[in-house]
Amino acid sequence: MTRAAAVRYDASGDPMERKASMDTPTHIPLHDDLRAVVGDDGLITQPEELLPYECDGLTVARVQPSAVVFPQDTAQAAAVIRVLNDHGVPFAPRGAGTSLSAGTLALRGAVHISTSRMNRVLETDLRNRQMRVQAGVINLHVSNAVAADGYFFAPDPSSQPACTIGGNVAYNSGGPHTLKYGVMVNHLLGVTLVTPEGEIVEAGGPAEDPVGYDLTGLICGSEGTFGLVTEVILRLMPSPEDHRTMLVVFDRTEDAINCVSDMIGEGIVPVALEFMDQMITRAVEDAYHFGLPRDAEAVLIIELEGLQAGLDRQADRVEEMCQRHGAVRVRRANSEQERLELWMCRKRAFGAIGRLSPSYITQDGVVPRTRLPEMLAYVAEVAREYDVRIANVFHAGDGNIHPIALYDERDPEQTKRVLRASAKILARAMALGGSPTGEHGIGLEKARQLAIMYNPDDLAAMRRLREVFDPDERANPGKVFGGEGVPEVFNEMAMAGD
Amino acid sequence: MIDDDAVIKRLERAIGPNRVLTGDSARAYGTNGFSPFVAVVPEDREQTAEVVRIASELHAGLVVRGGGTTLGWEPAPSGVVMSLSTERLREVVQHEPRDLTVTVEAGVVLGELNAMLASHRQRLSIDPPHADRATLGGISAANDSGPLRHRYGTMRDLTLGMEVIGAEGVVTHSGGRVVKNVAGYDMHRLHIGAFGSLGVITEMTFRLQPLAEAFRLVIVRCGDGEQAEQCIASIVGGRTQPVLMELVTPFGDAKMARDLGNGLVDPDGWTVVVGYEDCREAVAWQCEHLADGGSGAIPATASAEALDEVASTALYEAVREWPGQPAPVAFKATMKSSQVTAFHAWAGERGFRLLSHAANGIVYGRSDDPECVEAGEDLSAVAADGAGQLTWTSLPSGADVEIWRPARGDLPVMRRIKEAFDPEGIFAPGRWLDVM
Repeated sequence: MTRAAAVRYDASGDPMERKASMDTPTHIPLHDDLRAVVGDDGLITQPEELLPYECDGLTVARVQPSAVVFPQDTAQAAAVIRVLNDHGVPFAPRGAGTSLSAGTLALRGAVHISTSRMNRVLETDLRNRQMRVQAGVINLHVSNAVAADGYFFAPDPSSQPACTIGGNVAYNSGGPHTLKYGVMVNHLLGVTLVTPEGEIVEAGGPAEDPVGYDLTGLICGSEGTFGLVTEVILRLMPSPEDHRTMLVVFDRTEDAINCVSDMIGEGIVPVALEFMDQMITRAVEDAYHFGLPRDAEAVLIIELEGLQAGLDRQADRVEEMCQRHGAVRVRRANSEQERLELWMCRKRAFGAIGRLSPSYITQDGVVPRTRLPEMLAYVAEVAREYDVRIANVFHAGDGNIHPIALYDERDPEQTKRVLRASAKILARAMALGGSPTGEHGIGLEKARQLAIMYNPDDLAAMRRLREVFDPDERANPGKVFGGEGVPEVFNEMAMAGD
Repeated sequence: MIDDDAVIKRLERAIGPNRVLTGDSARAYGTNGFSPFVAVVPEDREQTAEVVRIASELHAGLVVRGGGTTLGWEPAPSGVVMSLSTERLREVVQHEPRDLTVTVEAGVVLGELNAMLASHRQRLSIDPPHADRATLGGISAANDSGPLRHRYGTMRDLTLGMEVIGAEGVVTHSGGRVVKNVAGYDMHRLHIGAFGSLGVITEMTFRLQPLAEAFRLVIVRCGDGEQAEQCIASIVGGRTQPVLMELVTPFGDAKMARDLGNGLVDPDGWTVVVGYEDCREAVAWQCEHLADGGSGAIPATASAEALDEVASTALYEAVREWPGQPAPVAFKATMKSSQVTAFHAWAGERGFRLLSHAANGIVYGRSDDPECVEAGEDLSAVAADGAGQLTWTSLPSGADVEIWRPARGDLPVMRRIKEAFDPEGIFAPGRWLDVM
């Protein structure tokens, strides 16, 4: 994706020319104090080193942090936060920067606290099916570490090879497999949180049902606004014995969606149910030549998993159901190789989109599964109204849409239209009884949508909870609730859709 | 000092005299050690909010009562307290079978909901004792659960959204009706397991599961704790995927053994009950695999027997209900699963009978002998060795023990939450952080 002319802001939220931040004085007392905690190699402050930290996966706005600090463990992180506190400087936690709602941008002069040096597995306890890790451990590494013993870690966002467990906690992440297994919070036993005061709180623990309020569940999904998560106790799942994977082609979108709803209504819960529309299918086909039809409206990838016993009968039932709903082709994977190939069609979707357009924005609204046909029709309508190309690839089983709006971020006018179209789509998702985000989080991008979804009393309760942890908004300022310093490009998200 | 009569008059004016009970009628809404001076039975959510507003205004303590099945858990409420019943909040607000979600009012009884859902071949997969009386609001407030938590989790995993009436009668919502939602904080998590100490739950939305084709139990008889641990460990790490795994140790109590499964449970033995729920073929294969005892599925010295469907259902129900039966002394302890058998052995020597959700590390103990309370400190220490805690759910009157041990390090944060959401301390006074 091009990073040409995205709107760039300084740490106070004003648009800036890149040169302005170049002349950093060499001795800043804050930096000296931070170096005293993490060592010389644990802090970066030079503008060119800070470039990768300007944005996350949502590239429409960039803010350069004044510094990035790399603590190695909970004690160092707490010391770092106390130093920042003494200097009155806020912080923004940062994992791998794969989030998609500008949730890591360093507003209000914030320093990034990166978890990338907190990347150790601290304890693996297979008897109790759990693992204690530092927050910077990469999601996929957890599954890899226990695969040979027959276990895996269920939450699987598409950024799995890069994203960190700490980031997964911040956004309560999910992915294709969460239809069956649930999201991050369902696989979390405890977290260690450093509060903005530098206090270390151990919420939850290795035992289930810890007495008291569910602090673990509250911290999960709080987008770094309660403090910095440094350690996490994860629940491991036994690996499934076997899979049945099929790719099903439908002429009509509606048939595909009805098929999904009926399947679930009849008690079959596949482990994954992924939908790709025509634009995606064509793009994937043109790029990778998997032999997908270019003229069909919808392709579903359906995966069942479990014990071998009975799995074939279930797969037969699914196939029958697809035929009944007018599937024009069902391709079953007959080997692990074929299974990986079918999945490759889905996993390459975003890459293929990159060939269609210099930039794209993905929203991830959620609607009740049965409202998907309405929702997709509306997405098409918005695409026409705003003259934006929108492709759809999403988790059909849980109603989590992912309209991908294609544009060129070098063109400010296009960027505006794309953001406004996004806001329209999210507004409709909420009106249909859904949510503006199922995975990406509110971040900086969707504070306006949060205020549509919840009434002022609901939001006041959320703010009250935030104040318990962070009364002065020092942890990830500006996120979730918006306010001072939010780049003005996100105003576009508030212009439409209300 | 609160003037009882003034409170009662105020309530009668607000929601009508027939909804406000006093004297013996009010006391019927209490439990051991808790005797409300007034019980209110609001007709709907608006009236419920009005009652909370009045309680806030008059600084009167308020304890919510659902089906009363966990109201007796220690500690009892204290101070001047009114009981607020959710028994009229009984509406199933929305059920969309093809979405596998349901929205209900807090007073809906679990058994009634699941009977309705069964006609769609669906279920809310939470199974605490007393499904015939336990309300969904109450189960949430107590974060109560049953054997099926091994596969489906607890209310914390099943709840998608909630409506709550907080201090001053302010109504708030969180979450939604979709299975995936990361917009804003999950405020409902505050209330699940909070024993009504932060507000009154009035509505909840849950994710549902389809009913499985088949359900059967395998019973594994072990000679001692060591063998039981080997058995649990090998099943946890083995090829089968149980939906429940219970450890039963009557320690000589013939009645407990009889109540649970006539002839199935040895009063002096260690019995592991393993449940499977899936399509017919998968259940049959798993039962066979375990009962055969082949390929190291269980230790060679243990013996396993697969039960038929009728016997499976009967034993499952008996095991599920056991923790809910009254006893003079009772506790719930939490710990790592690997600590469970050691804990059973310790508690057994000190006069307790025990049953646990063994793979989850949730242990229930009971005794008829009030002196057993003396063992509390040791027991907490053993639970703490497994990173857990002990909570008394029933105590003889006048027992001088700490309800929760050991105390948790995150208590200061919890206190700040309580102060932020209930500054006047009207919700469940005496029941929660007040005794820590």
